[in-house]
Amino acid sequence: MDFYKTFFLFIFLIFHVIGWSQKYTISGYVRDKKSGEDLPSANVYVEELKKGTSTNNYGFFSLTLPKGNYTIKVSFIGYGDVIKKVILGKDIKINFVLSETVIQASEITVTGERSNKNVESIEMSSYKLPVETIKEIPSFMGEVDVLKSIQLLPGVQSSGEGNSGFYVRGGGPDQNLILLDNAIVYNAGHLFGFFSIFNADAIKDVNLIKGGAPANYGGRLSSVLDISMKEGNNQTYHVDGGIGVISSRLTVQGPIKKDTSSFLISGRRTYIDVLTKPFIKGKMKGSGYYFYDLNAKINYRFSENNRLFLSGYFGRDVFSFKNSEDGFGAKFPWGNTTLTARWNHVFNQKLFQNLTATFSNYHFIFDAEQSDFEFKLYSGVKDYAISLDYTYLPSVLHTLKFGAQYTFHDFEPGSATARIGNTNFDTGKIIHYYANDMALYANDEFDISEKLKFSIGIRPTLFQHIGSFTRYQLDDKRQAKDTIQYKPFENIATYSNIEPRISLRYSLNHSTSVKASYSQNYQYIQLASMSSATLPTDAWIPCTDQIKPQFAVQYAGGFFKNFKNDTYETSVELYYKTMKNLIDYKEGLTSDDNMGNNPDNNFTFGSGKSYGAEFFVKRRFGKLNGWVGYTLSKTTRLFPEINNGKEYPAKYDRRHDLSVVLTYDLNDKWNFGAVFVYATGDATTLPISRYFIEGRIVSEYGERNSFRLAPYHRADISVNYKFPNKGKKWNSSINFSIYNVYNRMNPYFIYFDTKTDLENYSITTTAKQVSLFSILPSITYNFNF
Amino acid sequence: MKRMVYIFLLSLALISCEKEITVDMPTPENKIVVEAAIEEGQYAWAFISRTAAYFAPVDSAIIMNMIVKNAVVVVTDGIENDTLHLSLDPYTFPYLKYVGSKIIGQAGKQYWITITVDEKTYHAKTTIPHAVSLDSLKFKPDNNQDTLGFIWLYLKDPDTLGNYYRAFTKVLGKDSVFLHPYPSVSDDRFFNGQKAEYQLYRGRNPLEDNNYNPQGLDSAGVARWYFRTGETVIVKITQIDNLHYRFWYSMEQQFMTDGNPFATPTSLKTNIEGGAIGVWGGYGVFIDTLKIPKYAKN
Repeated sequence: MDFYKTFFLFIFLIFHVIGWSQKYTISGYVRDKKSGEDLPSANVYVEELKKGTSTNNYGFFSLTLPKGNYTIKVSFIGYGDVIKKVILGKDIKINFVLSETVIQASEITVTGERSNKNVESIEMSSYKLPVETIKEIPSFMGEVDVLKSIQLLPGVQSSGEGNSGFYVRGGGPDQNLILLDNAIVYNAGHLFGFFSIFNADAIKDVNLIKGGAPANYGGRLSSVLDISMKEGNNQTYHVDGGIGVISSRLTVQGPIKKDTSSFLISGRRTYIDVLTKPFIKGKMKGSGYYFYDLNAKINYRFSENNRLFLSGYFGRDVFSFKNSEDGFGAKFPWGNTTLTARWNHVFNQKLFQNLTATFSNYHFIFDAEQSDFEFKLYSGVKDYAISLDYTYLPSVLHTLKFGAQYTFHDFEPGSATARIGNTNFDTGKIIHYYANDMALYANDEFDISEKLKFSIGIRPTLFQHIGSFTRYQLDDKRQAKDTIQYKPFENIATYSNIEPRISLRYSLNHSTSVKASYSQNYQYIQLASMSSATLPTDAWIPCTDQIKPQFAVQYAGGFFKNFKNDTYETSVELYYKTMKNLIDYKEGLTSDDNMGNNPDNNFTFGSGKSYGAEFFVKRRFGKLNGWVGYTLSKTTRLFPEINNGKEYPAKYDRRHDLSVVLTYDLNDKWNFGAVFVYATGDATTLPISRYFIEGRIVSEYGERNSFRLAPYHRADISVNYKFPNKGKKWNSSINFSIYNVYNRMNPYFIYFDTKTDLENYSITTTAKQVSLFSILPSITYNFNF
Repeated sequence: MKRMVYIFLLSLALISCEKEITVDMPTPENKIVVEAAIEEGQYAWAFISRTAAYFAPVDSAIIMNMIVKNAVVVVTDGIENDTLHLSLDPYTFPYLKYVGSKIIGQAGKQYWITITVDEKTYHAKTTIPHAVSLDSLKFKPDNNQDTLGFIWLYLKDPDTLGNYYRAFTKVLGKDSVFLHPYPSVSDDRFFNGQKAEYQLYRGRNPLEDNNYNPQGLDSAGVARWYFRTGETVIVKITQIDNLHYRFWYSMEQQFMTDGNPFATPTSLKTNIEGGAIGVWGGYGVFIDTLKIPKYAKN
């Protein structure tokens, strides 16, 4: 096996290069004083060496330095610095406890709060969004939303209103790896994407990587959205909550044993169904919609070297529709469940280990009944995964990460059952797709010189489609002529690939740097969408003997500069991405092409290209904060069986995308926020001519996606008032926001209304545009104690 | 699937808004449309017309212009040639029909058609498959009805995969042409080699649209889809070849997804080569007549 050899050779070289000398290690954790939460990616800087490191996702850091005296400065955004002098003559363990800085009405410039991290770190094409920032952005219906907030960053585009998907650098919504505490989330939206499943009160960290992701991430071509939940305050009990117009939330957290273990439970539910119930009368009685979600977490620190975390997410949406006049009823429940168990272990101060086991389940059911006829459609994914991750910090010059990951997938892309009276229809067997998904990785981030830092990673991957499985073989007329039965665990198709990842950062000076990255990615599972909107009915499907892995190569380069002593962060990034083996449905299919057939017999394959420039300016200090992001980009597709083999704009093509986010702290009571977005209109395929067949009007369609809907733009504002505290424990604030302030009717889709009267020889067609959201005000009462 | 979209759209209707817009589109090149067939036991026929731009207003003059009157249409079975001549068919839109006079369709044979319009030539090929006969026909009244109902047909599908059916009905004294229900075509994927039953309803004749309201009810409130007791109905069950089936299937799909913003729109799958669109299809024919008694027994 070629890739094993390459992999181990790589590890061996790294160890060799590091060398041995008289060095000692300082290691420990960086934590928040008030809650005891770990602070990930906090800076731990050695003044004398002008070198430093960052804490990992669990707040752990390690510095191996030559014997000597050092001044260690630890800093984290929003917190005051802590400086300690250390005499290093043997291995030491120190924990740093940081306190949040309180922002005063008069501007305070605390040295050290400013950071040139965006310039100095090797990370490019990525953003860390603190939850506090997300909470200040005006929100839709008063619901703070992680997914909507990242769509305000350059390079990330919303897939439209009523949709939870997002596009990163021209890639589809299934090309984003969304993780919640290491577990994959397959559908991150509630009701058709109006809200995401992430409850901001339970979230600690949001990290978005658009390109050049380090080798520990893999499996999706376009981005990684890594979200981690809070651990739970291990000092005191704390309650946060909010009552809004259509939903409410409550979070309870606290220590089980102070300093040692804590818990967090967070829940949210809409009550649109309760509010609208009295209005849904008569024949529609019984129709309604509600969603709820629940986040729960427990962690236990056995010792300074061992910690256990258990977390879970449970969410459900239920949509029911009744029309008693028609005798028709439909129920549409769907949801995600994720479970994570993690064990952190520190071996010898230089070696940190994390063992994670996760379970993830996404499913939807569509159950419709009409008098005697019942139709039920089920689609779902179940993942069982385990991964072992190591961080090794042999010296202050190298940060080495390596590990192994394994996931077992169980896909059920679409089972249907149908019944009339007592007769059950034969819609074909229910087919599961099972797969083994494995990867090894190793990544080293090291300084070649004071100005030049490199990150090199390699990720060998292996994917197997295994039985039991039934393959319908089609003849040239697309008729099923034969079936092949595979036994359980029998190997049907195997794919193995190596993904190299390289990036570098060259510092021109303290506030200026140039970065570049190159990465190759393979994606072994994809979303097969019959429609041009991401509906929850889209089915996830793995690579099989019919579907080869999707593959992308991305080049990115960027220039980063901070101004006015790190008050303004600016960057320009250019990217170019090529993609192969993209899938789409063959033209002219409907859902019954999936019955008595494998869904993947209906796919066609092609390639794509995506390139663009992203501009970003951000102000982080003072009363007025915010950012402006602008992306100029183009993305196209080329499929031999679609659009007669001619290149066409991808559905995700948005030439211009502009976001402006502003927050203003007037004083410690009043805070204002505003958002403005502008995007080029969606591409769509329209009919260009028509003719008669059997006296009926028939349409002839133009080239795929050759028409643009009107541009999308909208502004939102919000006002937040904090009630005076008077020294009591109870804090509360009220938030008033307006979505779509100037009531722009943005196109959701267009359709044509044709009236024919053959006898009088007249046909008139009018184009109609449907818009989703008009101006929507909302009010939310937030409290905590 | 259609129901799911309908519900979603309905729920959106509660919060969304609609307005009329103008769509700016370039004028397309007009193509020639061929709607032609050869049935077992009949001469070939063809309607030749042109496409019109989607938003162009259509009135009687424009419709008349869409009909091609100067086409040269030739059908051959490989041995003989038959040049179709223009004639008037008052019962079928668009009324001007090219009709053959020499070649009569025979089961098991292949037929080619050549159409020349304005110095451009288009070709197509089709076969007339052997017909599959019906076992029986039966009239069943609809729920809560005595005199109104549908016709059920019973047949046994041949053992080979790849039988494509298209069904037509004609009510004597009422219908001047054969009408077909929608959907009208079916392949034998789900019932290959087995006995099959299928419900037929009376199809729509676009020329009669004004006799019915938008819900399909006539002035007495009776739906146009019903057959009635006392009627004599001729049922024609035809066999068509694969490319012919693909054309009607794609047309019926387009009607299903028409107006659905979530479906990928597709043009019809023509079997004509050379740049024209439409269909040239052969039909293997089996005809049976059902006399529905005045007082139906279940």
